Amino acid sequence: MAKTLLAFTSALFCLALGASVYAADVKTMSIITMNDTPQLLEVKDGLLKGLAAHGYTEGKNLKVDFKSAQGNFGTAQQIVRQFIGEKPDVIVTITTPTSQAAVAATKEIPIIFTTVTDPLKSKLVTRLKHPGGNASGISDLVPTERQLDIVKEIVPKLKRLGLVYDPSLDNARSTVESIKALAPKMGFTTVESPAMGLNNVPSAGQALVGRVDAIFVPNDTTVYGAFESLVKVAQDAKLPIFTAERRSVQRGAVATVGFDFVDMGKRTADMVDKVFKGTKPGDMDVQYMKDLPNSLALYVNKESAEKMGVKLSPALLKRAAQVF
Amino acid sequence: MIGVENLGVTFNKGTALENRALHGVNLTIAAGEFVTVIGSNGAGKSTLLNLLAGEIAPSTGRIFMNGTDVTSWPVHRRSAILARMFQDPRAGICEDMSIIENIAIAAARTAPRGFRFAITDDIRRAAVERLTMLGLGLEKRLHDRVALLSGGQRQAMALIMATLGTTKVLLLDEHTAALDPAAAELVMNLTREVVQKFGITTVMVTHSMRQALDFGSRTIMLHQGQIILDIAGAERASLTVEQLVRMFRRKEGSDISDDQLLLA
Amino acid sequence: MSLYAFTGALETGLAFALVALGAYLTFRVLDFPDLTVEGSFPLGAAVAAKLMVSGVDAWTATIVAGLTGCLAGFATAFLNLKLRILHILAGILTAIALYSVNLRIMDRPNIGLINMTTVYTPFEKLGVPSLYAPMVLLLIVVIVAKIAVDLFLGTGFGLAMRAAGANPRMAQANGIQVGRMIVVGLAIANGLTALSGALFAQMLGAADVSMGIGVIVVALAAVIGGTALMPSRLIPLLTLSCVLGSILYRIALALALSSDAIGLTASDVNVVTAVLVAVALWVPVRKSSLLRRAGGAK
Repeated sequence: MAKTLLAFTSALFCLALGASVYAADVKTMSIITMNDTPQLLEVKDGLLKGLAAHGYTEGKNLKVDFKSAQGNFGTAQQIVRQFIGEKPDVIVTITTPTSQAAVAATKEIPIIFTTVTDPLKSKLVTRLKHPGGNASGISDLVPTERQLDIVKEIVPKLKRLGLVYDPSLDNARSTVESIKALAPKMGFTTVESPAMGLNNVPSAGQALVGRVDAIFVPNDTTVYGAFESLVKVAQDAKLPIFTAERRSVQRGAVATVGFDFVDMGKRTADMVDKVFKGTKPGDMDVQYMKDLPNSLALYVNKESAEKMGVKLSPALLKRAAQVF
Repeated sequence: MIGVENLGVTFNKGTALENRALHGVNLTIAAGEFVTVIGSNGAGKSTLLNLLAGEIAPSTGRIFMNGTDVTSWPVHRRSAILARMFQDPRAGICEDMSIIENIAIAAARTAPRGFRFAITDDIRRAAVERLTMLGLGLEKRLHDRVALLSGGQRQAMALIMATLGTTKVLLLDEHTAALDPAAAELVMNLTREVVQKFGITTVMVTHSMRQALDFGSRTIMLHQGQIILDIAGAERASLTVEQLVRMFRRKEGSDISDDQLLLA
Repeated sequence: MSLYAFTGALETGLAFALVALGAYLTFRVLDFPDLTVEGSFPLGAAVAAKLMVSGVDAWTATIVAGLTGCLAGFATAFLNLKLRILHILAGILTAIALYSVNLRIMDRPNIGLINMTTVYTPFEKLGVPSLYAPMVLLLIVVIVAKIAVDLFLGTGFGLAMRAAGANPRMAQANGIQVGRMIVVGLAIANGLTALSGALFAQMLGAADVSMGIGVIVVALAAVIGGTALMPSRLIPLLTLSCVLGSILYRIALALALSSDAIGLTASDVNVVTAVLVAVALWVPVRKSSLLRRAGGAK
């Protein structure tokens, strides 16, 4: 009897010990974003979902501190400093400027950056493979050639392609440059229509009516912020819009071979999980979303396409991963 | 000291609002003379002062000061030899700055200091010396903000500021009109004393015929942009206000309907 | 609030203190609400960054960046004085134009400066931990700038500038060319702002064309907050209050960010600073006398 009691209490004791050890193993993650536009919030969503899939639940074994700098660089700098002071297990930085601020401010705390188009050019890492240091992450560089292929497939008579984007955004600018470089050998010319700020998005679209055969919008938080208004302009003018990611197709773009920002968040979670388990970011190669398996898919919006005067072939519809 | 040749100015020329504020004015004022200027509203008194100061440019004619043709000189250029006082006690001083700072600004009018320190012992001494003349105790309050002073005190200070340095000409634009009678009398007496002491050529515009005759050595009357009366010396010394009015009527051939002129 | 957050607030506060000094000169001394800083701050960052990635040493790059800020000041002065554009609009126009200019200078919206030799590197080499290195230099720069502004405002030229802002007509009548004062004042203020931008970019690790957003609001918050906490008529104390105001603003922001209990987010702070800007623009209007209407034609 005493023996059973002893065994029982010691088992309980071990359980309790194990539980407290388990509870003490709470991982802390600080997330900073430059803006909290829907697109970027999707990344955060995906990040949390992805971590949940890896076994981290907020409130139980994961503490999350999420802050947005609201577009203010001074605030971003201060948020970064605050995070460093709190010594989290990892800092996740969304968008280029916050990533730069974090990398400049600490060489000790692990940093995983995401939604950064060009980590090399932004000086976040000195090389893509095994970057060393304390930072690595995922780039959202857009596979422009594949996307342009789809545009040409749906608009075979494409001769002039309009580009609506915010020139102050690095990501958007890079994509536009790459499209302009590809355009000649793909047989069309480009017409740029910059939109400086949300309010200028519809007029940037209107400026292209009659001058182009289709519009392409790169991943651009500004244009996506006012996307519905651009869709309306395009539908009225029977001008098809193509974008670079999934949500915007749902909101009215004709099609894209792109990725899903929630998915990108989940892939980021994979890297964060590794960091939690002890891998140093410097030992992880910088990943390009477009090169990750199953990251790209064809999304089409049949309803919007019709409104824009474009017919989608049944074969295309069958290939699509999702038809809105 | 001041010479005006065929001076004229027309506002809004060629439009329905065309106004020949001054025309064909010729005037010579000797150094040290104190001239008073009177006239009804719209006669051109302020316009004359504005022209002399350089705030507006003439349409015709020329202006000479101290032998130089200053017609094309803007306000800040003339300020080396010319100073002006306004009716509004807030216009001649910077009320948010201290007394000594204001004096320093005025001193720099005729002796610019550039990048040297603005308030030096020399300036402080000159300020005390001049302010003591006023008998208002301002020399003991050098660091007080001018906003704390009364209207009369401000005009007295502005008078000192206007007569500093190498100032040769003083233009007074009804500078006591906004003060109560006691302050007005104080400032007028100070004016007479200061300009006499420093030999400053003075042109004073006033609405009061009384003041025009009591102060200065010469009186000019403007009407509809021209000088219609110019008296000095013995003729002027024995003149009364009523006589002056009668002279005006005779010259002009019309009634003065301006109560202000008669009542003062 | 952690030590890191505190030193971060101190540093950022010092970096922006130069902009606050500039805002003091324009908004308070000259009575010229100058919004050019939204463009001249990133201009300084852009010029410095471009020069640095082109091989120019950080010190030369930073000084040149400061001088280009003076050019921005000249532009606004030109718009206001020669083209008779309202002061507030003149500043806005220059800032808008500078947006495109900055993009041109950098050739792209963002230039990274991480792991480059900056003006802070020598201090790091001296053994100061890299997290504190910027503070040492910034402290020196801000102190020098503040003393320079104090001395300047005490000279004949500085006094003339104060008069030009306090009572332009009286100033003019005392031989002061108000236009010239505006030109010089704007040049100095925007030079300080561009210098601030260059120093901040090297601290942040990048120059970005959007860096100017919200800068004027922060500067005014510093000037208003500072002078409210430390009312004085003495110029050295006024400039000190602007510098302290800039630091205090950042500390307040750090406090708000670090205590979730208060519930303040970064966006709430925007409202507070907006209110402070309104006060900044209202105070001189209230004080303004009827002088502007004095002395009409009779």
